[in-house]
Amino acid sequence: MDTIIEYFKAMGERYADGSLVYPLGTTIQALGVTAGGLIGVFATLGIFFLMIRLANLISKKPK
Amino acid sequence: MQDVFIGFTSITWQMLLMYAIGGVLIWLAINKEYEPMLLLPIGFGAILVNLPLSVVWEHAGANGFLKILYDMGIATEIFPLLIFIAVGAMIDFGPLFKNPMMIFFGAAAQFGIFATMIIATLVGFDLKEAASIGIIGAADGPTSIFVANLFAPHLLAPISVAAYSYMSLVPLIQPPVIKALTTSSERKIHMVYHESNSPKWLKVLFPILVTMISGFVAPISVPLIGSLMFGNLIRESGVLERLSQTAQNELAYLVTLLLGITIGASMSAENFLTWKTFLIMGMGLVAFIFDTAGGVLFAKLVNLFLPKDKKINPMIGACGISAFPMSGRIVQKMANEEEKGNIILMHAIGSNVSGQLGSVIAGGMVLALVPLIYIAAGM
Repeated sequence: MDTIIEYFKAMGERYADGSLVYPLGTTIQALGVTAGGLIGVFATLGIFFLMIRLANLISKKPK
Repeated sequence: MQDVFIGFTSITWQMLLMYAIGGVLIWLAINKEYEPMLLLPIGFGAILVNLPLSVVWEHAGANGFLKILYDMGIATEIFPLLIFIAVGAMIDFGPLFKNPMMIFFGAAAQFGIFATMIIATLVGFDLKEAASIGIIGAADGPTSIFVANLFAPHLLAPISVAAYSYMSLVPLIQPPVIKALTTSSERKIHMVYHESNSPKWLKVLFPILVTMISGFVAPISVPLIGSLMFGNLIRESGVLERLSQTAQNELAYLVTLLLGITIGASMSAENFLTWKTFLIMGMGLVAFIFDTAGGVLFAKLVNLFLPKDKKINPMIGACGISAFPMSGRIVQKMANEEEKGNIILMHAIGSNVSGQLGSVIAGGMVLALVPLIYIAAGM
């Protein structure tokens, strides 16, 4: 995980004049945030989904 | 003598243009009824702050009343959080509890946030600015204000105006995108709705657990999700009916009024009339289009794995944005137009309330991930 973070951090490095060391470095950083963000949103909402399903199962009255 | 006419002599063409922009926002609010509670105060605030000497903002070294409101409510992020308490008190998660599968559309329809962020970096914005612009795609004013204020306060005015303007234009933006991505037979898909009551304890426990889980996943999102869920807990507790009504009415109206005029006051000509504003307005539209597309395409993807009699109407995916309940109603209207009597409203609303959750969680993810990369970049 640390290696991945270090890689995306490096993408934001700039020369003294402010230009990016790696062309499209900021866009690559944005791609990293996108991947992490989408996984995070799906995973978090997935936990809520399981929570609701579990609650519905528990509350189901036996026929 | 010149001092007597200083009001006239200090008028610039930029000020005149801002009066026109303020006037357009007021016109949209009154004549088109596009988010009037926000666009009208924003429009008037834009006129106020661009009057000569800008006394409402700052004059002779003293803060004007709108600057005081700004420092108190926006800079501290109190206004968006209070709005969230009100919004939380308005949300009924019941339709989601009855069909929890809908929650994933609330995640898929956040795609616009991230797609727009990538596009923003390609047109030259730095990561924090791009993230703030992308958040317009949350279709959620308070989240947009919250994130922009932290990451790019200098872009707060255009981002807020774009967020609220496009939220009001959801009925115009979503239908063509949905139609372009779905066939008529897909739009005619019927969905069975099972009427069942969720247990009361789930409704009470849900806001508490959502807050705690969000706090574990992305601690920085707690102010946003915590205030939203606090409002919802007040509603669902069943013992705080007056507080719930106060949050839904008095609190919502009062803070909206102050928020609107304060956002408008941040639209000074020198801050607003830049090429960045035009880019942000354009990218805001892109964000809403990608949100809708993300939700619809995700629904189509899910359909590939579902048996024929359990297919999802892919229009439901478009409701995964936070514009509640507008998006759900639009999709129901489209389903009815496609085939009279096709009722998918409850599914659409389930997806729509998921969008409320999804947008705040996505905001929290952006708030957590961007500094992780950005700070050490030495920019």
